[in-house]
Amino acid sequence: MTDYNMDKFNNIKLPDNIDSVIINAAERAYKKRNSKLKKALISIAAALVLFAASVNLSPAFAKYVSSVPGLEYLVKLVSFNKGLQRAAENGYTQNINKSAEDKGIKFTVNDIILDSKTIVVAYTIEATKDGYTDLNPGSFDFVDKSGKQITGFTTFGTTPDDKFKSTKKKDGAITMDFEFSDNIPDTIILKCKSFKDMVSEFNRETSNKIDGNWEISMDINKDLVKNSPDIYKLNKEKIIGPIKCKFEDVEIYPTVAEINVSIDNDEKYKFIGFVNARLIDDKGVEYKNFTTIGYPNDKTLKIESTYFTKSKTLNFKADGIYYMPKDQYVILDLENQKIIDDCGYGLELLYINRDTSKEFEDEKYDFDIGFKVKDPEIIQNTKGWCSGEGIDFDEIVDEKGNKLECDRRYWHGIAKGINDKEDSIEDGFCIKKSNPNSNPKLLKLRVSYVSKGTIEPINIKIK
Amino acid sequence: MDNCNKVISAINGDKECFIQVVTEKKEFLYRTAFMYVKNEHDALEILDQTVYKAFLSIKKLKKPEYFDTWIIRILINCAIDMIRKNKKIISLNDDLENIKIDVYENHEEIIDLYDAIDSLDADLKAIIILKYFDGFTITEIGDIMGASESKVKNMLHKALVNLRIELKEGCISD
Repeated sequence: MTDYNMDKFNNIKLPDNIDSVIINAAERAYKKRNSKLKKALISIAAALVLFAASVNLSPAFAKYVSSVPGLEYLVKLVSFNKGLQRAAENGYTQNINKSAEDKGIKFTVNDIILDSKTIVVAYTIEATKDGYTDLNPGSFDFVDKSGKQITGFTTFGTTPDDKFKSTKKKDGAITMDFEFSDNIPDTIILKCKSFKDMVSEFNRETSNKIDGNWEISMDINKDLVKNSPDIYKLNKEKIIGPIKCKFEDVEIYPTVAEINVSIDNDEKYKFIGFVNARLIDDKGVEYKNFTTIGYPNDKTLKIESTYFTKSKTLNFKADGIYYMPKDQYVILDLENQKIIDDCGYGLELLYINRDTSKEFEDEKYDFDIGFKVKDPEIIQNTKGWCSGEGIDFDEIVDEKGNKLECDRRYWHGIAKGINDKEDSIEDGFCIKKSNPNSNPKLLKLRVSYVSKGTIEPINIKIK
Repeated sequence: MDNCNKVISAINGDKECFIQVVTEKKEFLYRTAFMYVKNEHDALEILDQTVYKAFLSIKKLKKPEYFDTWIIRILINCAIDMIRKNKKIISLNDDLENIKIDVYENHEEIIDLYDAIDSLDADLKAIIILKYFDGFTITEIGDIMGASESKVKNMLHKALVNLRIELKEGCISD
């Protein structure tokens, strides 16, 4: 008989931080699940701010800004979003004016726009030593006083400042919604853990990561986060193409309007998104849908806020929806270097590079594959600054059906509204070294997203 | 909401339910991880990786009642990964010196598995931990390790034999 001693096992002391380790890991996984979305958001945000420079300000806002010193930063940063402009005009701002410096980088938070749904942080990055080409935020977290992460969808954008080399300065905004926070803490700390020094704006290959510690503590004006949204129940169903959508309700906050839609996906097709979704007030002013979050059957559309609009009526409109067949595969013959089946999306192979490691810092790749998308509908829809991402894949398998680990490339064709003259989109992906099959002959790419669909006007009366 | 429903919600992507279910199992998960690496830092990292990977792949869990065996399988893989990573910096001699085995007068019958398992290969170690510390049955261990019951029994036997050899060697070196 063998006996065994269980005391030592049962007496293994649990560390104090075990709960936070679990929560952090789950939060990270949650973020990762939404990372595709996040990637899209980042490029949209960047595009939006690039647009901002040329947008004319509303005269009321311009006047308001000129009478309040120090709000110039916000002007540039929120002029692309009418809702945020109005929130700022109506006093949902707070002056912070705090800096942190490390590794020759001075990070300043100038002002914030804040309500119970969103925080927009207007920042300035300044190089205090030589050697930096173009500094951008790398990774950052919002935490409370105890160091607990405040989670939410985060985007950042910067002004397209070609003058960084001479001025050593650039402005930008980081936006986060309190999507998962019940209580907004009294103090929010913006913790920057790294910056990226980019030689070329949309080419990650040439960026250098600068690790350090920049922390800005912001004491929140509690009056700004007290407000509750205007809520309108809708409960309206609409069938568009093969998809049934149920418009549940609308929540309107000072900084954002949110429409919750549940989707009944058809057996053969799945819903991707609305085309040109917007709210329209009684004067015909349009409030744009700037992003959509959620699960396949449950979407939240974020739209420029109409909170301060004294409109008698409010309508939701869209020009159609994007959807695609379920289980659709693009097939790529690696041996003969050609695309066998492009699912009719006009795909053209650009290059196949073997054994690469340059593009992403830590990973090594067996293959780096680039292609062009030439479908006119996809290109047209990708150019619109609120629309989708062209084409995307969620699973890549080899000829034996083995799943291959991949990384998506960053966009290097059209960066949403920045380069409108192109007639094709460049895209690509890299197959990681860690896969058991290092020499696949054939690749099957499951299409998860494509900006094509049914164009049919949708009109939902909200009030 | 009972546990099974919470697991179903977690499978459907409910983060809060997932955190609750995992937190309820934290002692079992952490201690199992600790058994592999015997230090808090690495055990927490294994737990962190396990929770992260589990939430990313929870949609693959078809039957909620298999949550325990499913997550422990992920944990074991993470633990083995960690050991492989660390192996590069631990020399075998140091390892052997650190093995301390309590041997009682009446032969080797009471084995202090807690320390003794350090000398086992990863797979054998997993079987001992699952069987004697986590209390899984042979069938469940088969599910977790992706092996037949008879293979599990053979491996268990092999593990116990190895432990006795280690014990004797331990005696000699003492």
